[in-house]
Amino acid sequence: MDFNEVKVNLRKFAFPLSTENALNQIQSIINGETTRKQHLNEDLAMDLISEFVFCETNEEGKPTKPMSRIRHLELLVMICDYFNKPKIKPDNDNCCGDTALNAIFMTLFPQFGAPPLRTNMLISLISLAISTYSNLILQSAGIQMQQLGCSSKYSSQLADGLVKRFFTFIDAKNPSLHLLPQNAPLFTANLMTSLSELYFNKKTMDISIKEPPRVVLEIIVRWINSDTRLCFTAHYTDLQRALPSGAIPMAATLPFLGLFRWCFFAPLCVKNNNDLVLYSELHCALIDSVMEGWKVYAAENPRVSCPYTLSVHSVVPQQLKDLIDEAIKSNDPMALHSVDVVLERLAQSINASIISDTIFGNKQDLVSQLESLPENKVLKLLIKRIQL
Amino acid sequence: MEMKKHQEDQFAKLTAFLNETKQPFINVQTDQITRAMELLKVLPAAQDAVLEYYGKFFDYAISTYLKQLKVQPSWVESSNTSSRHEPPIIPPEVIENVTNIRDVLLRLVEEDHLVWAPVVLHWSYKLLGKVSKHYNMHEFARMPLGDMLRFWSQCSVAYILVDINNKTIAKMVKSEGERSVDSMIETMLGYKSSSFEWVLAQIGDSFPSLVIMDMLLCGIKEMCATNKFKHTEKLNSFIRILDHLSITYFANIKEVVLQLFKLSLSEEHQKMTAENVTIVPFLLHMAMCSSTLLKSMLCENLIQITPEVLNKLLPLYPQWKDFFDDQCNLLDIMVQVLLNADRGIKHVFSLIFQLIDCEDPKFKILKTGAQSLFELFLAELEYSLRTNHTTPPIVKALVTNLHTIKPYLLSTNVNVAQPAARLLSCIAIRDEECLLPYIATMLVECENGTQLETLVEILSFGVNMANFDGGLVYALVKPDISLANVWNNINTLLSLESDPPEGISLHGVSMAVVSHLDKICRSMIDCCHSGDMYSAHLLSSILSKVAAKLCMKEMSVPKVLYCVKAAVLYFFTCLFKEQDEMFKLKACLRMNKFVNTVSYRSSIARTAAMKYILDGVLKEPFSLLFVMPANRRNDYIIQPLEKTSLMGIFLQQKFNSMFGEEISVKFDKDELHPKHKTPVFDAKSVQFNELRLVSFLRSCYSSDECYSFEPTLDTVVSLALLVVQFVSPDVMYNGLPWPDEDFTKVTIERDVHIYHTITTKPILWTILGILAGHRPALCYCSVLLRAVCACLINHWGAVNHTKGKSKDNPQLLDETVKLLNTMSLGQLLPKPLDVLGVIVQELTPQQILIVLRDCVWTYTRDHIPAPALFLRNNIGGMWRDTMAVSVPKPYSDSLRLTMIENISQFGDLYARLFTNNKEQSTET
Repeated sequence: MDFNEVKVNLRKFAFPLSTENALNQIQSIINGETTRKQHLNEDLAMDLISEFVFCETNEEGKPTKPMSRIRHLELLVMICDYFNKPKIKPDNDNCCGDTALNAIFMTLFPQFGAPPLRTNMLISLISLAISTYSNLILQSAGIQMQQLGCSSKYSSQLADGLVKRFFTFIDAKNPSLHLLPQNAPLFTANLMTSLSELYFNKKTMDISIKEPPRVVLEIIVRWINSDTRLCFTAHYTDLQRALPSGAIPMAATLPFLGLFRWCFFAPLCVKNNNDLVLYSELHCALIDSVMEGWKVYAAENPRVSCPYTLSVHSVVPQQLKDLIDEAIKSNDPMALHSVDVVLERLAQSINASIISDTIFGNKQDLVSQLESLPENKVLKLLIKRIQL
Repeated sequence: MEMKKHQEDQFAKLTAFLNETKQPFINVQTDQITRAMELLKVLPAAQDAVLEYYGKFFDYAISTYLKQLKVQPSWVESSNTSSRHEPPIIPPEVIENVTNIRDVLLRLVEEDHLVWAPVVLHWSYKLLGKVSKHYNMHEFARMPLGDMLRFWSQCSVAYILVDINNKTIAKMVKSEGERSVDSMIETMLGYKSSSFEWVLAQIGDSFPSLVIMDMLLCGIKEMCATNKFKHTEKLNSFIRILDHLSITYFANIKEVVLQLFKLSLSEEHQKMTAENVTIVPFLLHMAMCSSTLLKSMLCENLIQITPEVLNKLLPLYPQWKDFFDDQCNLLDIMVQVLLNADRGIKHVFSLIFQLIDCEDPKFKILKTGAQSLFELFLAELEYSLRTNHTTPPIVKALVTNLHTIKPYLLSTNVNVAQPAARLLSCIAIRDEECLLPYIATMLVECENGTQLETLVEILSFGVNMANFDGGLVYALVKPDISLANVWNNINTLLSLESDPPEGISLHGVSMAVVSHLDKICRSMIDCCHSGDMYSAHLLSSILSKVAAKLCMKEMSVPKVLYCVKAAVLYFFTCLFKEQDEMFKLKACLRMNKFVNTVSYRSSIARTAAMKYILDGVLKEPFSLLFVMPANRRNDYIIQPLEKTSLMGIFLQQKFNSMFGEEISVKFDKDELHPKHKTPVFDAKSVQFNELRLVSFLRSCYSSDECYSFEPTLDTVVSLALLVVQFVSPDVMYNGLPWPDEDFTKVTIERDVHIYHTITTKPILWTILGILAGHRPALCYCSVLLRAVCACLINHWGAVNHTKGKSKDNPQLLDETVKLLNTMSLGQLLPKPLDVLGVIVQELTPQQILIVLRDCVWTYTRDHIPAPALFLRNNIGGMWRDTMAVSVPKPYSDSLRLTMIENISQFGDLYARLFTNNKEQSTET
């Protein structure tokens, strides 16, 4: 079929139909014969998406006016519908979803080559998908996030957008959020990793250290508590099955490091007492997960290799050291107490990862790292134990 | 399974909503609105769409309103008289829906303002912008803000929208503090089209300080970014909004401006942001564009700005420079701002003067800055006043606030006084009237050279001199002030007028002073009465300075008389009270000159002067001045004090009648009552007094300014007549003829009185001597001489009976000699009788009696000393030709026989008188 012919045919229809047809067409292009001119096919798919799905360009390929919000919503509903329809392959794995749909999702929301507005679209779509339990979309999104890296711009934008436009408006008790780890565990795990990178992190040139909104904190604690293995999801998921042929699965990142950082920073940065309690809960949940989570999983699947929860090199970031120094300098009893809490948490988490044997790095390096910190009873014991 | 159901449920809701959006708005039901609201809460993804839907509904509601407007355009045109037409109606169900939307949104905000307030606010702002633009794209392109506001306030839907907006802001402000909405308002301020103005004005009505502050900050940021002040359309729009808000919230504007200003007063300049540095230049620029801001800057808040505060700003100046260029530098702007200033100007000036007056070296830069600013300002003000027909607004404000610069005018610091003076002069260009009170005040209050210099500065500027007269009037009518200082100042001004320093012209001071001569004279009389010699001298000095101008001005008779009276009184008082000889002499000379100037034009003045002099001379207390201590008699003390006309009632001045009486009573009691104190004048001073009196008198009747020439006869005659009038108590027998000696019995009391007067006031002899010198004036005093002569004859007769010696009656002899000498001088006794004065001193009383009766009385009785006997001789004087007409024998025989009796003494004289005579007669 000639490319132009496809377009001309599609142009015969008006909005809802044209988009529906276009989606079907795209599916057939991407998942059809892969032998012939793969890259040309991809180009055609991109063209169709921007002209008929997102209406970003007109017939001549020029940018058009952004569509109205109502139309936008209509489109989102349509995409959701499309993904929710019974598919060719029976849906037997709730983690990776459908390979064909994953391919379409990746084409619809690629890392590069799409106008910035489409990111908004993605956020809205995910938001709608969470609310409407459209699990396939979420699963595809989880895979896409892992493929592109949870700390990539793509993932951070998605996570940030969701916080701003979804989490803030929704109650933490909302059932759709509770069911998320069951419905889309990979997406949930990767979302946590992305979220963990957004806060208490100075990478992004921000002047101040950002705290996560309370809702986010609450829901993460809830998620981890609901399933101790959740954080390891990305590690043990076999992506190869879910990816289109020829694609290489990317290594998983686990949310532990980032979330532990939250717990270390919180006593020094957070002023709100209620929130501090939540951070303590988070810390407990994380330790629990490190100690139990992998054990439970490994007992069931003995062949899978062991993941790393903490890395010796990044467990004590420079920023944390600076904050601790500052607190000691201020000589405020409250601040000194906070430093103790931080050091204890640090010792506990390292200890937990040593016990579960999921720590990465040289013993000696770890000791030298820890010795550079101020004195603390628990920490001393830990160092002694490591050196034994 | 439940999940599936839930999923389907959600999708069903979404589909229903999406279907509804496709329906025309006219059919929208209330439950649709509420259903959409559920989506809003449950499905964050649908939020945008729902809000858009709501927005569209509002848009629709407003457009129905606008559509109706189009149908009835007359309503818009006659918006002022809208009572006739009902405003267009929006269908009630639409209104209901709109209200529902509002309630829904506000409920959300109320439930969780942290989450929803920004969303709702953003929505309402966007929608308002859209609606405003929509309206603008309709027919009315550019409308004044007020009309726009009125227009929209009639649209209930738009009003509801604004309500949502404002309530949301209110909620945020209430729960999170004022600053929480800053970013939002800042976004709103980013509007592009002026059609949005009314929205901000509306918000401003609810949150004045917030909007004003943010508007100004927005302007500052813009200026900071471009590093230049640009008068953009946006700023115009801000200014319009400010103007609108100023009607109700002027206090807020002032407060905000002050707050902003304080922001730029940080202690550490390094820490200040660029915005804070820009505040002051921005405000200055804005003040040029907006009168509201200008007013809010120049208000009582300026009191808080002290030199210390300004000093803090000083380090910022280098950074400010970037915001000004050559065409528009800081000072220029400030001058422009000041020129447009309103009432607040007084605070500015108080600050400027405070700075100029400041001596602290800390403020040196500020001081010079303030000075140059003021210089520029004055120059600009003067220029515009002289060239333009329109008056800068500041002038009006200045005129009403002029009193505030009064203290500066009177400052002893030249640096302060001079600018103040120039300011006053500048204003006077347009409004001369305003000068008067200040000239008056300065005349009254100037106490030292610097202050007076300021006054001179003002007076010599432009045509200000023309107002001096008015100012003087003001000064002189001021109640409850001592005029002494005024006189002092006027005196100095007069000296400056006659001898002006470089570049100063005070021409006109004396003319102005002349018109207040009566006031001066009154003061002078008061001073003389109260014995305040210092002031009296001062006034006399003024009088003598303006004397030259007196002739140029027609003066009323009472005025002339009054000033003559003052001069004479001053003259006598000086002689009487002044201790310093030098002053006395100076005063006398001054008065000579003055009286001369006055009287040589006006015979009334002259007569009055002479009258007053005689009055003073003849009556207590001044008559004491001329009594030799040797001649002092007891009856000076016992005699009751007479009232002189100098002291007493004066015809013309009513006010003076009471006053004079009062004073004279006081005068009598305190100073001169004999029981308290008898002034004693030693011989030397009596001589001096006499000398002064004579020259004073001469100056009265002299007919030229230097009184070197002989007076005209008329004047002397009038003096003579006056003397008679004063000395003789009777008018009946004051004629020239000397009657039979026995006839004197008829007039004996009168004669005794005259004789007594003359003997107790020996100065009269001097006056008579003067008269005698100016022949034939003495003739008119015949009555006096006659009375004295008659009395002497009687006295000598009495002495004769006691057979005493004539030397035993020195008093009597002295009188006789004086009489005879005076008569001889006046040529009333021609040769040889003119030697009588010499001879009588050696004669016995008997002989004196004979000589007086035969030679003097009988001769003059038979040869009446009429003025007709005197002829003008070749050198211009009058002369009685005694050579030709010699005294007939019968009259000289007594003399001759008496001389023969005492030939041993008078031989030489006798030979000269009679022998030569015989030779002559034998020759003839």
